[in-house]
Amino acid sequence: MNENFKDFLSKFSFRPEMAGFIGIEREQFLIVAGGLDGGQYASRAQGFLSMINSSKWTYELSACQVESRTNPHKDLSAIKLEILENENCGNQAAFKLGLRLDNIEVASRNMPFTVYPDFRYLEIAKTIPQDRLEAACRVTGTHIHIGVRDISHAIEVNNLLVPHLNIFCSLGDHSNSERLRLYRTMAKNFEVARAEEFADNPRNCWKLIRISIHGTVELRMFGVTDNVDEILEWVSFVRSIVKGAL
Amino acid sequence: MGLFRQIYCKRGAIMSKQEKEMRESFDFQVKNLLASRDKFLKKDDSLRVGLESEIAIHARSSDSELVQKRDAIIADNSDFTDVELGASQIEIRTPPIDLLSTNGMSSLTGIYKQRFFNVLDSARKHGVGILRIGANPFLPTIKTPRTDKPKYRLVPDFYNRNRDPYLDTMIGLGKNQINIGDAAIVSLFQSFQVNLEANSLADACDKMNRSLVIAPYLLAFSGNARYLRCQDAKIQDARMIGWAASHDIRTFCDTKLQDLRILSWEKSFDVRPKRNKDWQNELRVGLPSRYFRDMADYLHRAGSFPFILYDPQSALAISIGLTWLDTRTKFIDDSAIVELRLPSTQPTIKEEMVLMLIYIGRLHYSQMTNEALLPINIVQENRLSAMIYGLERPLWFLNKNDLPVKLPAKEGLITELEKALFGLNHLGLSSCLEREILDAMLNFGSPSSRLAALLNPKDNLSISDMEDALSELKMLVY
Repeated sequence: MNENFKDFLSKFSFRPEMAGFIGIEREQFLIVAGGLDGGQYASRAQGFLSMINSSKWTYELSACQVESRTNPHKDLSAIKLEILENENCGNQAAFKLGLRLDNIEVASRNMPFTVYPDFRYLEIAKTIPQDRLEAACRVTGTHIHIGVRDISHAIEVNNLLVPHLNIFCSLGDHSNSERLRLYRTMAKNFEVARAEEFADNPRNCWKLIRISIHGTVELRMFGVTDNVDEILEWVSFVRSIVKGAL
Repeated sequence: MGLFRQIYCKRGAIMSKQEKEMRESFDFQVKNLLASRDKFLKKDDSLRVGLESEIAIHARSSDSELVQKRDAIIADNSDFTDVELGASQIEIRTPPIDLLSTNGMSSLTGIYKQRFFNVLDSARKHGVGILRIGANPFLPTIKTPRTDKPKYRLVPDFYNRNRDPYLDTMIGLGKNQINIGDAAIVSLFQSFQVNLEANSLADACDKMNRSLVIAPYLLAFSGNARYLRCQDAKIQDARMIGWAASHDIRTFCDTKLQDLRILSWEKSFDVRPKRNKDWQNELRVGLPSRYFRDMADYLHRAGSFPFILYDPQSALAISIGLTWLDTRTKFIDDSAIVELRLPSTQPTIKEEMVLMLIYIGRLHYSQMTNEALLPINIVQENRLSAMIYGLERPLWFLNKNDLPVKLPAKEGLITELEKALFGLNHLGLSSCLEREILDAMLNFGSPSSRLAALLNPKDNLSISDMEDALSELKMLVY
């Protein structure tokens, strides 16, 4: 195996025992809950994360967004419980800050485009044009991760999913495709990411179906929903497609 | 086209002529019920309680032999037993007894015990054992034998026919998951149900809402449905999880449609109101997506599902019968009865009586203090957590300021039990609670935990392993 390829593979943490397990990442907006600024987007991800103080929550490029994640599970009920736990803890933390968490697939154009003070994101924000920054800040989604054994398994699962890309996009769309249009603006090479753009850092691969550094195949086309059961419906559908490979 | 002519209902879904007739009858019967709400008023200070307990018979016999024996046992005890969906299930019921009357509690306990032992005597006579467990671990989860009655054929078949083929019906946290993709799986499930007479329709609605909050706390220490097909699902009480998943026919987006043009077309004409406001896209099983505003709201939800069965004169009763919520209100003559349905059948009657008293005391406390209700999303988490992990994970409770707070389950439960005791005290029933049984339930773990502790060292469980363990824990009685 060529050294470069070995080096590239070393960036992925495949865990064979987690093959077939599902993890969910859910992005949400922080909104001012009431008062004169009620309903406004709140650039307060840092405050929210300090308040919730949980490894299951993290930041996004936009300081108005936060992301929760579940542990990997096979059982849908266990996945649902973790999403509910995040949702309820998140709502309580937001409440204490006078905020609420909202599932908005595409934010309005007049939202603040404050970038979260993270080195990587600040660097990205410096280098990309304003329209791409705005596009990145305005969208949230739900990402489904499928655990895979190794790179061959990842490719097998990926290849089973790719032919269904359009139906996934349609299933997860609540914004009349606006979210995916903005996503295209944000990730220029959305259809086929060029290898040189993410060879050093696989996180810079913005394809809608990608092999993630966590050793999973990640689906990023699903939008957001208030209903946890809708997320489970997406999971069910995705799993039915890759069933033979899990 | 006759009776089966298809017509369109106001929501755009296709409705058969029979369904339309059922809906019209249902609306008419609901209107009459609500108009005669005064007949449900109870002015005395009674606390009438009746019990229903589902058990199953077990023997290494063929399905048809089991049915014959089950029917014979019911024939021996026809005054107080009935069949259920499962071909080996028996329901035992007591009459309603006023617990606040002299010797009310001992009377209810005595009748319940007597009836159970009558059934047990019959079972012995017919050479079968009695299972006191929430999920029968011996029978298959697919094509589970059902009682041969039209409603037991039509209702599960309806759900099997209409379930999204892509729905994931594998459950379990263990190495091997178990397929529960047959609505007849309910044939495996037994519950212990407490029926409380409400003193008005408003009281019934209030009791129902409060019971939805309380039920997960009871379940957290009483889970008794962990094994399916002799396999450990590693879920403390898989009964309602299995029921819900096998009866989920909702689709948020129709995954059956592979043609994107049709999908887009449908979406552009999708004017369904958001869920919650008008009980849209609800599941018939478990927890409603919000609390009930009043009895009309509850009945409106009950009527929002397909009736499946056709008997216009009984439209309301059918709709309530198919309301598989953790708590429901049913109507018998001039009584509105709140039925708690979440706990599984317990290994012993003593444990069931403790559960019943804790429930009654906690509910009474909640009503007398007009306690705030936990947000329903939080109840949903508590419920699922109690089902999967019992007391192992933190649960939400209300603090002194009526705000939700997450605590280690055992710690929070102490306060819940104190509230229940306060309520029982107020009712004059605290002396009826067998504290040593309650302490044992809390100290030795739920029935599921006890069973798992006995069975866990073994990898592949045989029927004998399961029979021996269940017998040792009084979950299988001969």
